[in-house]
Amino acid sequence: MKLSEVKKLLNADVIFGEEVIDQVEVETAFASDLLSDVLAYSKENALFLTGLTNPQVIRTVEVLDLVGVVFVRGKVPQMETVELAKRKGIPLLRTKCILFETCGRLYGAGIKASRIMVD
Amino acid sequence: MHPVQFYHLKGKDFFNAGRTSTTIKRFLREKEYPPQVIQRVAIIAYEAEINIVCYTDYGYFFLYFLDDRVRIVVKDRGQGIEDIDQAMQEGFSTASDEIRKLGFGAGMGLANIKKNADKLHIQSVPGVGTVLKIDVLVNSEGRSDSMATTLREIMTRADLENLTEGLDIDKVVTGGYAGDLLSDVNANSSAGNVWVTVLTHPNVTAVAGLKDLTGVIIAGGIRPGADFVEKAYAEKIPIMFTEMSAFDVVAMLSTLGVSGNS
Repeated sequence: MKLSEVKKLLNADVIFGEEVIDQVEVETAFASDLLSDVLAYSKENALFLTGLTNPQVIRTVEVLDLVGVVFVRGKVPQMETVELAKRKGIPLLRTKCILFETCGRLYGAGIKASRIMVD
Repeated sequence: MHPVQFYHLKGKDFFNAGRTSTTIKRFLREKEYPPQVIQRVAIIAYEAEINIVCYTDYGYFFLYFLDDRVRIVVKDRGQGIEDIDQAMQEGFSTASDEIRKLGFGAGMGLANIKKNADKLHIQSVPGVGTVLKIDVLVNSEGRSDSMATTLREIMTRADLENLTEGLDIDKVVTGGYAGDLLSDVNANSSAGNVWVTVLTHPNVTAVAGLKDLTGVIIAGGIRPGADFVEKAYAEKIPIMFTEMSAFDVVAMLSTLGVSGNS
């Protein structure tokens, strides 16, 4: 599905990337508040769901070639984080849903896990 | 392409943590490395960078582009690792709250590096710093199980003159040390190192023997005398000779992935 549909499903605000959300395709997602776990287990092209708000979120997205970030639980990313995302062209969404609800809505709509289980 | 890239990293610079790794990633992409290799090197570099930011005063990366692999050497000055086996375990962490707030410090860093590396070697001195040597193989062809370079390879690459025919030049070179002060080399070189020097005093071989070095490269074109060579045979230390300057010899060693001592 397109990122614009993710936005609708989650009642999300677009913090950055309004002009690309109709183009970015989302098939898988990874949810975590531990960046090392994302680095260890996520595959590329996943949408990243997290409650973390610091710039390392964006660095992680860049290192892994993820497609974008949804900040959950109403978290507002730090200004530096948004600035960095703008420079790198990484779309950012924000939802008031908790992480469980966010995952549930996306899963129900056909988004699959970036990785089902760890080895 | 430069055969070696260098990046300096500041400790405690949380805002920029990750910047160097993404630079490295872009660089590898421009060089058209396979995506899998790029990803693995980027993850390794990122975790190493986070460790430098979190636990050290400063650190630096050397990136070597060798025939069949990318080699990353990470050195830092910082708290070091007390127990490497423990630090390698998933979940073990000494992270502060500040680090945990960033989403790190869950004890996955070194484990992540190991997972993405084909070869990993860690040396650490608590209170001083840590050296990581990591190899990521570019393809499975010509896969070799070692990170090793030998004196023979070095000799062949730079057409060095072997002054001690018959001595073993197939031992693994663990790193390099350059210096013309015997006491300095005695203090700071490690077993298995190759030593680059312009000295031609026979005591060179004594120090090399004492420190169990794999060999000595006499740079600068001043040829050692017969007494030197005789002592080298007695100590079983292979001696190579070249007219190249010491600086150029070290630069040449870099292109073979030989890194400096901690």
